[in-house]
Amino acid sequence: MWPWSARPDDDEVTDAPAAAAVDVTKRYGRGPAAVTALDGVTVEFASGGYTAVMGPSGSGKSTLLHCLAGLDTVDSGTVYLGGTDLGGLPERELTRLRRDRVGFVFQSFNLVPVLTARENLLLPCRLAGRRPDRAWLAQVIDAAGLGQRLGHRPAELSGGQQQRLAVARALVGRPAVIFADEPTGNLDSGTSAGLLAFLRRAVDEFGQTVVMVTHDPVAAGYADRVIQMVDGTVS
Amino acid sequence: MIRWTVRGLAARWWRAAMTSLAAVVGVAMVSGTLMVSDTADALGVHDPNLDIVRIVMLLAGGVALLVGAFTVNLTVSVTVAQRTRELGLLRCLGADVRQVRRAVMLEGLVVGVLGSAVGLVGGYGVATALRAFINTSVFPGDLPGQSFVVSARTVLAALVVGCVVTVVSGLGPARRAGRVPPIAALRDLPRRTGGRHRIRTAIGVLCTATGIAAVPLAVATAAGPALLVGTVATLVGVRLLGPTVTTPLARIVGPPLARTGGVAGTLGWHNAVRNPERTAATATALMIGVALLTLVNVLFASTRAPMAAEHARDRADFELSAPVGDDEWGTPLSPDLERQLRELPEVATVVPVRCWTDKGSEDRLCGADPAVLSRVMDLDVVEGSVADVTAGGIGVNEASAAAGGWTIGTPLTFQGHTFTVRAIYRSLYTFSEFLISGADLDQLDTEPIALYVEGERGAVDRVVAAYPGVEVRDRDQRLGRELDQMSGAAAVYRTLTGLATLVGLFGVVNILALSIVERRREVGLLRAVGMQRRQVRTMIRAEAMTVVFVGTTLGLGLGLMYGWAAARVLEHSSMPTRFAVPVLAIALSTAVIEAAGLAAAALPARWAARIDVLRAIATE
Repeated sequence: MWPWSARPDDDEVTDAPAAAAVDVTKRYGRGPAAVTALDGVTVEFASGGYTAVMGPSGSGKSTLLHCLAGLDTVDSGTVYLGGTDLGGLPERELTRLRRDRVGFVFQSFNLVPVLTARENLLLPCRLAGRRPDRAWLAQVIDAAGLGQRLGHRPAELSGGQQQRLAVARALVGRPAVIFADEPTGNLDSGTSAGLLAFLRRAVDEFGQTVVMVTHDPVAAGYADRVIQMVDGTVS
Repeated sequence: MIRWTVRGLAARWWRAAMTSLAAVVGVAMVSGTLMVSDTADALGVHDPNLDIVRIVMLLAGGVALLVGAFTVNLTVSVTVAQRTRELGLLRCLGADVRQVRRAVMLEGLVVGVLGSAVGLVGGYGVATALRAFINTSVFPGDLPGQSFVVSARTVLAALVVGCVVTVVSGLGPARRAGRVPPIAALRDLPRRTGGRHRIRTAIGVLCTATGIAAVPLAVATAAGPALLVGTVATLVGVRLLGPTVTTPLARIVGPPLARTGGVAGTLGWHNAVRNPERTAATATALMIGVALLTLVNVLFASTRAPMAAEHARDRADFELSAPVGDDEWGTPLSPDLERQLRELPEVATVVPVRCWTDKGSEDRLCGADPAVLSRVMDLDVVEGSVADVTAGGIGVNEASAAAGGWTIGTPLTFQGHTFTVRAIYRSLYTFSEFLISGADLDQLDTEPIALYVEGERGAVDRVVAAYPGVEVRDRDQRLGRELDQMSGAAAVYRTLTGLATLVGLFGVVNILALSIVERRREVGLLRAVGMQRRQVRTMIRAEAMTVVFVGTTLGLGLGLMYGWAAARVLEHSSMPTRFAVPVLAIALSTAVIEAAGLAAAALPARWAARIDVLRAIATE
């Protein structure tokens, strides 16, 4: 049923979705206090698409994102990232996958406080022991409008600059998917628009894939496709 | 990742500094001792007293390093706990377990290098203080010169010692850091509370049991080394048992803190109790210093008591001699002085201690006639009889007899003269020379070195006035001198163990500051609902008091127990002891530690009180 399944380290497959979940279930807690966060979710995200996942608080949208990104394990079902089945991947492989194939933008605390903006930007490269592509880096910095602020610490940047820096960092590694978890949650509407436009550009100009969790309809309006979640299921 | 570590340290520079300080004290003591001993070697000074100082200092340095290691371990652990989100973020961005682990270990290494460097400079200070101590009259030794030899070995030893301590202390936290999952960047993970290692508890029980069992064993067999092993085993055991021991103790202070500090006091106490592992770690680090300090206090009091009793055996009103430097019996006295004193009607008894000096080797044989000496001193003869010490006979003190393997009848030869041991007596603090018959003393070419006199002070002083350099010491002065020497030594040991306690207090400050950082929002919330700044300070102080109370109580208990055992073991040694509790000294040092704990809490308490309410609540 999934012809592209379970083929790790296979970058040749281009028609495979960037990420997919098949009948994924996730529960927290035990006994009567148990909460079913994901209840048999099946969804796929096409490469080069901009998808917004919407839903009320507690609908499981953030959990879905975490499971798709390999940050959290699933109780049943399968998660594919760029054609690779995440189930049963050893910790080291999972780390490498996150480093090389996934970009993250969280609601807050995206940046390492003790490092400068430039150092934060290059951190995934440094961790991988790779040299960044200089031309690409310059392009990303320019697109993010951060040229003047690279020597500053995150605390010295505005909220919008911090979030744009996080998106830029995700872009530098050219990941298979960028997962954004309420990226505008802490921003005012004007700054939000700037960030959302930047994400849109990442898709349109740089051909990136973006999956964004949000409960803001305005933010969702920037996406190509909107998925609604209610009570742990895709409606 | 190197940058992450270094910047992290720089961002929390005061914490890194406090952590380094934990290593600094130990490194300074060790490197200072090495400098002194290298200098002594370079100058060709060979003094057994110096060896004792070296051993004591290295032991004390080791203790300080041990306590320092505990403090470093604690601080790095809490830093890791606090940076959990940051560690999670790094893992999200692709840092693997080893990279995270290495970054934390590097933190230990940097702290170690810094601590070693500062410790080395401090070591020069320690060496200077040591030399001053060695050259004082209290200590029978001499180390001339102005500068010290700082050998490559000393520098290397300081670096290795400092780094090994901090890196090893950082191993555990580094492993824990490696276990932080990436998801920790997004959610507050429930802190793992339970899951205490059963093996750790088992080893703790085993160590404590062994240590406590060593007490009756050592007392029964008078085995000092067993006691030493027992002390270390108990300290380590209690440390490993941690909360099992400390939490019940911490509960005791709840009600009094609630009475004195109100809600703020109770909250502070709760903060200490709800973090049992951390409280235990901080309190047991403090415990080590306090236990050793108490041990030293008890041991010196126990030595002092029999000393005073011993002193009652010397009944002579005055002791006359001409001291030179540290040497009480420096130069010989004029025979005229002895004769003039004998002629005085106000003087009842004059007992000379006479010395015969070999012109070639400068060797000195000193003794007094037991027949007259026993009039002013209780000689307490163990074997033989003073009456047998006639011409050709000699009396020796018990310690020398034991050391030389002499018994009644052993012939002793001194520069061609042979004497036979006829009596063995217990030496006094003021007299431990030979007992030689008056006939022999007169026959030998002897000069009086000291005179024991009974009579009126005024008359004696009038005669002595004509002999410059001669000192008259009454009984109180003689006792005072002995006790002064004791107090000097006691002060040194108190300082050394006090330093270990100080390192423990660094831990208390660290832990308070860290818990404030962790509970920013909580403090903000409390302030928002109406807690005064003063009450915030009270809360932090209550937390400090709980930790300090647990640490000092454990330390006092163990210190008294092992002090008692050590006093019992040493009862029959060359320096007999009788168990005594120096209530005043212990109460004083406890009060000082508690006050220092409160003072240590002052700075973190101020920080907590200054937390901006709005920002503390707003930050996610």
